[in-house]
Amino acid sequence: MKSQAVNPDLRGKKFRFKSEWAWAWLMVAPVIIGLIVLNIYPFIDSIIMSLYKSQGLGPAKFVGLQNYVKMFSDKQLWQSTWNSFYFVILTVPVGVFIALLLAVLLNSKIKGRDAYRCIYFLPMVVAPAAVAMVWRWIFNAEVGILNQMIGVFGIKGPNWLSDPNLAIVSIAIIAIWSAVGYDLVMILAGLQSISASYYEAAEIDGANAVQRFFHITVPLISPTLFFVILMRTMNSLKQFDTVYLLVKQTNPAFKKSATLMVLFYREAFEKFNKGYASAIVMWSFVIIMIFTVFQFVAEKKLVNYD
Amino acid sequence: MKKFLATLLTLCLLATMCSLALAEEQITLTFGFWDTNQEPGMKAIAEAYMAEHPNVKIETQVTPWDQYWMKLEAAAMGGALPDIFWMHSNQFFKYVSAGTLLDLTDLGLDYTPYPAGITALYNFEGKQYAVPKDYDTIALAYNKELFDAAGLAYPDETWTWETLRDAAKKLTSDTVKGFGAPNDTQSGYYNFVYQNGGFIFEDGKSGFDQPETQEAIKTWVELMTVDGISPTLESFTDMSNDEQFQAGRVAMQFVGSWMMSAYTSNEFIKDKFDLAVLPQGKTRASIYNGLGYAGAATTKYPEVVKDFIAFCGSEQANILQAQNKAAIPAYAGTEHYFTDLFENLNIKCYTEMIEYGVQFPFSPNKSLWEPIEAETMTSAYTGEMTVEEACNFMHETITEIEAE
Amino acid sequence: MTTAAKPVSVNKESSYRRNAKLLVHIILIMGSFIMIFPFVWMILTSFKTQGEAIMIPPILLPSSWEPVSYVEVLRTLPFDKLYFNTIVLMLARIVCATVTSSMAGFAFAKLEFPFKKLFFFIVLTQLMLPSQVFIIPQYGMLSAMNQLNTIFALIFPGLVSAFGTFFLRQFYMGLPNDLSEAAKLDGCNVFQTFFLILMPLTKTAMMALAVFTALFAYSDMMWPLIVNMNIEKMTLSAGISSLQGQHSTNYPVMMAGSALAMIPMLVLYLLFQRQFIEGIALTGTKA
Repeated sequence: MKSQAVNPDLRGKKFRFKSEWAWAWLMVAPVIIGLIVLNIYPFIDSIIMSLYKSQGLGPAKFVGLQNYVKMFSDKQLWQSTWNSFYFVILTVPVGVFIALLLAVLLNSKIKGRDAYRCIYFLPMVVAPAAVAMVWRWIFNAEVGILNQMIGVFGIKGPNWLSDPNLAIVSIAIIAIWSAVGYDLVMILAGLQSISASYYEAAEIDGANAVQRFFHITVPLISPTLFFVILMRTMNSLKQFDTVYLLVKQTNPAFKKSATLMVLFYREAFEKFNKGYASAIVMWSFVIIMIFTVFQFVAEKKLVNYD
Repeated sequence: MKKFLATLLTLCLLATMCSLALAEEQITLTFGFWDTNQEPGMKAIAEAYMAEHPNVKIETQVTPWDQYWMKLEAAAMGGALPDIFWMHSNQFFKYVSAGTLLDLTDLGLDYTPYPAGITALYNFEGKQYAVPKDYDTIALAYNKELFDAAGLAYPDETWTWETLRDAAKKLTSDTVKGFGAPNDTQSGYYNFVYQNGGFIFEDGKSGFDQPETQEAIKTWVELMTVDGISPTLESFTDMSNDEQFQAGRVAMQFVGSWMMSAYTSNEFIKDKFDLAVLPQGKTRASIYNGLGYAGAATTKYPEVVKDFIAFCGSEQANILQAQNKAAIPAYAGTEHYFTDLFENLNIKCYTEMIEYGVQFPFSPNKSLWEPIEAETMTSAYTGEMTVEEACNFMHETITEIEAE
Repeated sequence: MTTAAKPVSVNKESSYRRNAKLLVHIILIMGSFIMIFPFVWMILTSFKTQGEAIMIPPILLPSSWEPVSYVEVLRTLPFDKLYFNTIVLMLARIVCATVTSSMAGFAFAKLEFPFKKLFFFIVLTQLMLPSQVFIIPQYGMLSAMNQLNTIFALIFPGLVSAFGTFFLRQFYMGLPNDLSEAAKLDGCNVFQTFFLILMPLTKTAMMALAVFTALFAYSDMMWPLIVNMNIEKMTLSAGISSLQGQHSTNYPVMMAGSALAMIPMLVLYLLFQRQFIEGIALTGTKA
């Protein structure tokens, strides 16, 4: 837009105002100061706590790396780390794809678009208790809708929530369901910033819908898509509520479903074992960071920032 | 004009001073607890106290169980505990050992009306830190309709483990299981353990290595895994024991007195079930537990808080609590205000069982091993471990945790 | 797929288009069923009795349509206060988040400055940590400031938004650099470039952020429950979750409360929806 107005001599140069640094600092200051106070300080606190053994509400005892030694020698930690990985594999690609597909459909000029958009937004505001009730009913092995439907074909349906190999898949389905709305709204916002003129031009060139999708839509919303995938990965790795709600310790599938955050939550808020819980947080932080770094490397290659 | 203004000013000043003086006298206390179903009872107690003490205002706050302890912990660390709050046996040690609870020893309360185990529960190093609020016991609930259909006699005080198992076998069909034996402690195998002469935790020692304990847990687990008279572990994952009983899918279960107000407000089960005392093993036993009213050590008004807690422990307050159908009051002699609310139900067996009741086991670090116990026993049910292995593992775990 | 569909003269093409549209509707309607089901369930449950609500196998329709539970929940909870607190909380967080995140998002996307990577890492760090880590330290801060049990306490953790900063950064990244350079040539300083030229182009993104911020504020029931004592200082979701009993929950009442609580969120979303449609006409930024 209006790029022709810029003097070509100046375009390539690193053209900066003298005061740019000052402006930049001023503009990021509120966020950075806020984050340092609200989040970085508690994070540092957690790092320190991970070196202590907490004793109820009393003063904690310094134990060095003992929490880490104990943690890494716990088989469940490795199992949970795998559970978290597996959960990402199960939820992120499928979830983002569904959200993208729906966003594209809902961005087109179809009848009843507003109604659809409202309906797809509903899961985000419905009471979590209603959501849990409904899914428990759907997945109930004896009287659940799913197994009754399967039963029509004379097959006995599985124990969706208590089969050790299946529970995490069932939970992934719920997680995808509840996340689709969020991702959908974000991708929609991204789609809104694509000019219709691109599609008009492509249509004149005879590109079909699929071609248009891959050659126009995907590249142009890649910054948003990158963001959505990154956030979804982080949130999947931080997944906690659904697993915690549906897979209790008395569930035979507990070991193969408990994610790192479930372990963390159990230590921190059931056992009130702050030191060990902090060590788990550090471990999951490292894992999330590895994922994030990979994605930022991929961003450089794949994401199109104009 | 000047005079008028002066008078007005003086009046204003006076009015301000008066209101200040009043404000100074006015004391606001916060009262925290976790069960919304008991809010009417707690409010009634607070109001009765406020009526007698017009200068005290008591604000009740309900926080659901799942958030209550997190909130209390944050509050204890931030020095902002509610002035008065409910205390639970599992959490007591943590709060009392950190010095966050108000010493109530000089309250001058007579503790004889309360179950001794509950008073002792909230006693730490010879000092009293909470006044017993209520107690609960475990009874055998049974579905009359299913018993009638099977032509069996209803459970009574003569029942033993064998009678229970035999009846459950006869009641078990394609759609109904005779008895619910879930992986549960308080309304589950702990009752069997004490009925068998075993124990879970006593005098600083784990009882999981005791043969009586192991035998009792084995019998309990085998009701499901060998006898097949209980819904499976998978089935309990989808629907809890309580839910299955209320839906008529389980004919008998052990159930705590706390469920009674829910059962009697469910129109599908309320006329179909009744209660009996627990069947006996080698001896009689029923696990009981009780909450206490505690005060914050940091409160600004320790004397008022103590006075209010003393009131909460009084006969009058216990009656108020009972009349609101919340829980069995701790004060002996007031139980009938609670039991009278349930017609056509043998609810009295709950209060009868306190005679041979056993206090729900607790230890200073129970919150650390309780989740491990749930997980380990799951392995015993699935067969990953034998019951003996699971018990021995728990014994080692508890011994190790409590030794630290 | 059918974006910017324009009538094309070829007949064959238009029948293909009709089929495609039908397919789209089928997909969307099937999806709608899955999405709307818990909502329908919530409404149905709110009319059931307690026994009907927990029946196994579940009973679909309530036996009576009397709004008993609605009357009950309106009696138990101070809904006027809860609505007010929730709306104040949402508005405050939306304003804080959009203002600070817009500035920071712009700076991260379009400016070069020392420590940029470190600062951005701070933003990411917040996103990489579970929120439960922050609860007790933040409680401590409020306690030290003597701000517990206030509306400010509710707003506190949302004063700035790492999510918003990152989200808006992505949108600023997508805006062409030519625009800002042209603005500089026209004599705009950095802030003017941001405020007058680029920020207006991120309107849809800001609206989306507003909806998200509101959603996060709306659905977080843990924080209000922990930081505030008095029911008069609670938000809707926190107030409703306090209806959860220790051993048994009156689901119909809880669902009735949740249905009433959804109203402000739905209104907000509907308003935002409007913006989306207008947004199409206003932004033609990628050219």
